[in-house]
Amino acid sequence: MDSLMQLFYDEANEMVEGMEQVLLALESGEPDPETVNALFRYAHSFKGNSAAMGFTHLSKFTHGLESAMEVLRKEQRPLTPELATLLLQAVDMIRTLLERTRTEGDVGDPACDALLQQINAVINGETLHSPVAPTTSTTPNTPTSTETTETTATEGTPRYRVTYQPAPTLSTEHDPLQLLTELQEYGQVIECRFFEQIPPLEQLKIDACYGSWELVYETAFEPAIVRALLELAAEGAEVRVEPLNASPSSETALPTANETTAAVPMVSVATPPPTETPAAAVATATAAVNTTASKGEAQSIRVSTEKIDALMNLVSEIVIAQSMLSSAQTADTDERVRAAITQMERHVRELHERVMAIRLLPVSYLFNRFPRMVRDTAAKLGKKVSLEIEGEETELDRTLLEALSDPLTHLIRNAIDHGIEPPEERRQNGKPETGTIKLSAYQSEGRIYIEVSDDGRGIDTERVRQKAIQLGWITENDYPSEETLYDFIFQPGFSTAQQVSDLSGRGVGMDVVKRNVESLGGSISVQSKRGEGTRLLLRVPLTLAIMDGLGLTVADEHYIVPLTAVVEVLQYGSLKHTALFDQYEMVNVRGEFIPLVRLRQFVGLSEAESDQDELIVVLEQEDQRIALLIDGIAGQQQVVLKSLEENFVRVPGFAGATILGDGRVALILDVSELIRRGRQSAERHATVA
Amino acid sequence: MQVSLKTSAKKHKATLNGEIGFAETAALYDVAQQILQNPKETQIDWSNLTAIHYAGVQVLFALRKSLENQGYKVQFTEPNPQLYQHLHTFGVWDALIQS
Repeated sequence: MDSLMQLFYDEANEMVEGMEQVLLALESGEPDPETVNALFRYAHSFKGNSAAMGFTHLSKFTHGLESAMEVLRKEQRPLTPELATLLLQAVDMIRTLLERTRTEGDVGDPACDALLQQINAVINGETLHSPVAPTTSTTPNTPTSTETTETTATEGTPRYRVTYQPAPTLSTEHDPLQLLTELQEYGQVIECRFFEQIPPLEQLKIDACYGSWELVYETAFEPAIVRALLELAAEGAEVRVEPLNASPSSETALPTANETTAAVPMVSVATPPPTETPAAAVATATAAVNTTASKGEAQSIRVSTEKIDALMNLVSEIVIAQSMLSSAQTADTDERVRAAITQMERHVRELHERVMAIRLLPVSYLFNRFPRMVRDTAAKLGKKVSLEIEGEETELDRTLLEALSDPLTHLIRNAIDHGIEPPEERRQNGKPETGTIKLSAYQSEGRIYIEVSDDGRGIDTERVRQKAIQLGWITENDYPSEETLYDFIFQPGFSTAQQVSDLSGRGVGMDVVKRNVESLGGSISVQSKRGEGTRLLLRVPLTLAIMDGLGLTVADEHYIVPLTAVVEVLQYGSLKHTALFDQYEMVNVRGEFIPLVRLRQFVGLSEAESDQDELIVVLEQEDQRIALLIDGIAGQQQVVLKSLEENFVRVPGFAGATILGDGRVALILDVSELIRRGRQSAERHATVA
Repeated sequence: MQVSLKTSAKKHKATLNGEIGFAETAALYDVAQQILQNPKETQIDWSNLTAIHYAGVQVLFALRKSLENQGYKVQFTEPNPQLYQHLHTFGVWDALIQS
């Protein structure tokens, strides 16, 4: 039952999000009958599912909502802003009730009735000048037969054709007849056909399952729940659930005797029993399966995130074991063993990529929650804001997506609160009254880039400077670069907001945003132009789990840098070197001066005598380069990222740690931080000069 | 004892009582094999049977097929109404009796 409940919540959450999106789409565009229908279906399914789980209050509320939406659907009414707001509040109410069922069970909320009354009042107010259609189930005296028929159709419980091939092995827990009996607790079996393929006793294995069933089944549950009921007891069951029309007809019923010849016994619970030959029955079943498959219904399954995480952890361990095996090779290793290790490396890499792909989700999963937030926040602040979303199909690790939710929420709120000007101010500045916030995502160089930009007033760098002076971070005589000033925004306690609102301006938030993004191995940067807008760019790794790295050595220590950041490796001795003020160093790489960062210094090791064999690794991120001075290269390898923050403490300059093939721990360098230090050092000295 | 077998000169009579779960299916299978070792017309009395695991149902199907292949009939007594409804709803009763 726990699994069923989890399925219910998963589907319910999806439906709530779906309802919200449909409402927002309706509000912003021309009413599309199909979209309104979708909205109605969400409410209808929600009502049925929650009733089936015993959540009567939730069911009653969604029933009332369904009735209201039925009027919208039938009358093709425009969704007024007032009605849209009320319906969105209703979605919030569903969300609240749903959450409360987890801890309090079947509970209601006194505000439900009031909200439904408001919704109905708005709808009734609009219908005063035209004949009012009955609101289906809430109106007891449905006047015409047509409406009665329609009411029956919409109120009728959905029917499905269920094809059930039990798991091949029977056990105490796995009794197909018992599972079918349990199915009756969640709906009604209208017809049932049994395909027995039981051999004579001489060939019978008593724990093998012979036979399958095909049913016409009526239930308020979603198909996934029906499937789960039959699949839960044993692995290997094949269940197809294909929607049928609500009303029983020749189309919906299983084939009748007229369509087939008699041979295989069949039972119709609701109608006289037709019969069918095994061949015809198999053909029918196959056709049903094909139809289902073509609709894509059975092409995906719901798997708990715990299972995927466990699989990912196991793959990580395999990567480490494989790395150990590779490093254990010596010159004497047998050629066949070498070949086997190489082959295994290839397979492990593919396994990793495939498991990784399971964890990836489109960013729309995250982005879809923002239209509602933008709408509500803008309304609260009396601003007009349009949200444009791009690249929502870009895929990102699920863990990262969830971790990015809060930072993005804060950035978007900030953009509305501080960036976008009030309509009057925008008009005066020759801008359209409605401001635009763009939220886009794309993948490049093995990283995901998420951009939040607005066409608002931009960052007032002089105000930022004054605030920094006020905070004692700089003096009146300091004129830091724009980049440094933008960095102040991400410092704890910094806020230029003159009024503290409940949305932003408390000086907390941007520092938390930065810390959160950095804890994901990512970084954030700002570009802004006064009067034109601001662009915030978040860079995060594609995954937190495994990456291709280049092993670097200084002294006896091993470090890893992401391979995607490595441009080239050069002999240090072959390059021209420039030093300023004994500290700031650059190297000339084919005419390009690149800041030099000594890894020994960076990790706090004492400087060694200059060695002719020292190497330079040129690292690049977002068109910024540094030259990292190292002792040597330890080779390229796949590494499993382990969080320092979770296992130890957060260490600035390091994105995490990993276990090497020989069992030693190596730290993974944070390329953003290396570049930042290299560039900051350059800037500091340039300013002094 | 959920499954018992009585044999006369002309026929076997297997009586099924109470509930036959998956664990009891082995006993039913043993009885079915005994019947096949000395095939005769067979009566299955399951009037006092209240529930049966699908594994047990399969044994009855298989026994009937084996006996009929050798020219012997199998007769099933009227089952308990609840069990009948259970087997009938999912097509099993009709398949067992008609085929």
